Amino acid sequence: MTRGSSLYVEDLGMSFGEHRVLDGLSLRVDPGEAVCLVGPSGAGKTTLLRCLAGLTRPTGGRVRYGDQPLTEPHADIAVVSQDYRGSLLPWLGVWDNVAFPLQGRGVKKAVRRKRALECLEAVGLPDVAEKYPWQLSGGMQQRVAIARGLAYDAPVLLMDEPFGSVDAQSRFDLEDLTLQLRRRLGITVVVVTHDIDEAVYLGDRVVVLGGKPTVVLDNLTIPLGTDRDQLTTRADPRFAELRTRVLALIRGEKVPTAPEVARQ
Amino acid sequence: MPWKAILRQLWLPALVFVVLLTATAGSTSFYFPPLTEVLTTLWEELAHGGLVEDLLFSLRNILLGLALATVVGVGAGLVIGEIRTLRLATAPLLDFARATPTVGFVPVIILTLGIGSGPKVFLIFLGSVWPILLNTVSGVQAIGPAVHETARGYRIPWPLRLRRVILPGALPQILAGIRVALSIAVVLMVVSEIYGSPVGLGNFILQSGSSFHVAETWAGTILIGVLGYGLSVLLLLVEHRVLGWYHQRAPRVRSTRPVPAEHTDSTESAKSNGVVV
Amino acid sequence: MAKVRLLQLGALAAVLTLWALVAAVGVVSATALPGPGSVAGALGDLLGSGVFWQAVGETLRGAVTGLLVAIAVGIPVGLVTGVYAAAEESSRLLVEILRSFPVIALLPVFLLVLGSTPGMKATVVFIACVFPVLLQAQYGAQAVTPAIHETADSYRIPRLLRFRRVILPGAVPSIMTGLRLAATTSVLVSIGVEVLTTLPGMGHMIMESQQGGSSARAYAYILSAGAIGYAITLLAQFAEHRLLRWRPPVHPGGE
Repeated sequence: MTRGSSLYVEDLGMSFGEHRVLDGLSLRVDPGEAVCLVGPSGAGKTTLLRCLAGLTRPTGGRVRYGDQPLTEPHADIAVVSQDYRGSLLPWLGVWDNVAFPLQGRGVKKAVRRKRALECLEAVGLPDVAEKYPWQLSGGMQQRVAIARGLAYDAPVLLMDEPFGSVDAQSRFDLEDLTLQLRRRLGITVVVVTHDIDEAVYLGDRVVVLGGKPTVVLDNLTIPLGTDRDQLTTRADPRFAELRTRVLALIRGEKVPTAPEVARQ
Repeated sequence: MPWKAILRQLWLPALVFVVLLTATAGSTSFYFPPLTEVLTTLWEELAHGGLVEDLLFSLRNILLGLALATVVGVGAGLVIGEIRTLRLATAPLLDFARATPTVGFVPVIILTLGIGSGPKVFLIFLGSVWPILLNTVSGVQAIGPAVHETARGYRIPWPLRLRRVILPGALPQILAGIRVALSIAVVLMVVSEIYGSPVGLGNFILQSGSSFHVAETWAGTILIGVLGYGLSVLLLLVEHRVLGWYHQRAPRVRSTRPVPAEHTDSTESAKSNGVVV
Repeated sequence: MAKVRLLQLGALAAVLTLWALVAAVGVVSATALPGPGSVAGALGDLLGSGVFWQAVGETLRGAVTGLLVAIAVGIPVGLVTGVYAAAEESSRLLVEILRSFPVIALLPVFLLVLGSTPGMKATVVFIACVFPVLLQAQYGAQAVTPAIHETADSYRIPRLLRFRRVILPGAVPSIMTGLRLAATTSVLVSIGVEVLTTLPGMGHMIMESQQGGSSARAYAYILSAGAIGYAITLLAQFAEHRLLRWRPPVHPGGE
């Protein structure tokens, strides 16, 4: 069961002074989809995500959630940022951090705590509720940030390079966690990443960004099904093709012809 | 118990104490009576001489003044820190106020408002409020942008933000400001008793000094030192309880807190550095 | 930038207006709080009089003397305690006690021992200023990471050279903060001493004016003292800014 509405990006542009970073971007994310935004560093992926989150206003074009324009943070949208260390409040315990958005909604303490514990279990951290963020490893802290996004009970989860500062092993675990949560909860997930493998592994669709200024280079559907795992999926020949395609696009090189990948 | 560490820290002060004790033991100098005599005088005055009264009087004033300064300073500081235009507009004024010698107001205040408790508390408040206010502003600014964004992204209503995001986040700097304010407050506590206040520790030493009761003067001075030190230890304990999360973070190189690029400070770093008026 | 200046002038105007209102309404007596007009008038008179500048000179003389000695003593000692942990540990308690000691409380004792002399004033200033300088130098030296020390060790860099070219430059930002704090403190303490004794200077003039019934003049002196302190702060900030351009812009807090 999927909830929430679609996110629409319409002809979005972003300039910082004279410098035009994003130009005429349009895309659409439907409820229940997992969309990965991929592109080289500095392409403005984070800026785009922030516009989707309502944290930044684009200088041109607009963002819509359902049929309402989106100009500030929305109750249906949770953001997990790249800087997990900075975004967890160090003076609050783990469960307090997870439950904090709920406190913002006026939820009573007992209810909040229960929900926080549930979400911590869902991300695989049943035992750390009473600890403080500084006592956890990077991977664990990022899980707490994700748990917080879940506790917010938002149908849409936006993640900005969520696994970038985490070690490789933890990264695989976290990727699988994301897929699992999506299956169980039916949430919409938009992930910004510079890791092409990750984008192909996680996404139902991969939106490739690039160019100067940044535009949508391509919108690829990933036909690898919803039941993925690190060993078999990554060994699948289609996986290799897809990632090659994405890499070629980003590099601006000729896409090697291959048996067809569905395009939109 | 880390005996070695304690020993390493205590040997020098203990040595100094012993040296003072022995060096002054047989002293016949008028101005430097034997340390033993000073200490006995101190004891005498405390037990029989009404020094306790003086101590309590001064202590009450300083605590009241500091409490007032904290409430006003933190309150105003939080508001100013959060509202950018206000902060920019008042920055030079606040720096100027901080640079003004509150000691200069003593004659004015005391001579016009009298020698009661009230004017003294007011003076202490007047001098202590600026470091607290300025450090609160600095503390609010020091909260990382990621924290602010998270609060914004999750649409946390501002009363809750103030209470659980901004205040705790600024607390390290606020407490540093209070520590500085403490030293200023102790000075003002003494100076405010300059004009024949009936009781008070400052009055005690000023009177003893001018009547050449040397041992009493030294005794009173030592007591003030103990008072000041005691209060700062108390503050340290409060800090440790309240800022457990701050001190236990991943150990960093012990360095001064980075200077915020925009507002270069008249605020003192989170590690106090002994500024006294 | 101009907009900010405008805002600041606006804030200043607001404060002055508030002051004038409170004084006019008479909530407090005119001697306790003279209006801005009379203070401005008194200030104008002062600036033209030799007495004023003499007092300023006296205050600054005591402040600068004490400050210079504090710097000469504080920086080396601070650097040593910063580099040698044993020294820091031994001195920690003593410094902590002495630092939290209200220097002005030493005045009665000093008056007894040293009498009411300019030397005494400079000594009190010295004691008040040496600790910020010392502690900041200490923090600055401590900021040199173990990694740097190890590198210096592995290249077998001699002690003195290490001090000169590794530790000292690294400690400079922190030392500058200490200098700024000590500079403002020196003026404040100098005036404080003058208020409590009969030593000449701005503090003494404040007392005299007030006792002579001229509140406005006393306020004029207080504001002038504030202006001097403020000017010192600005100067010090400017110096810090120029000398420390090599520092990468620091991202505040979060950590």
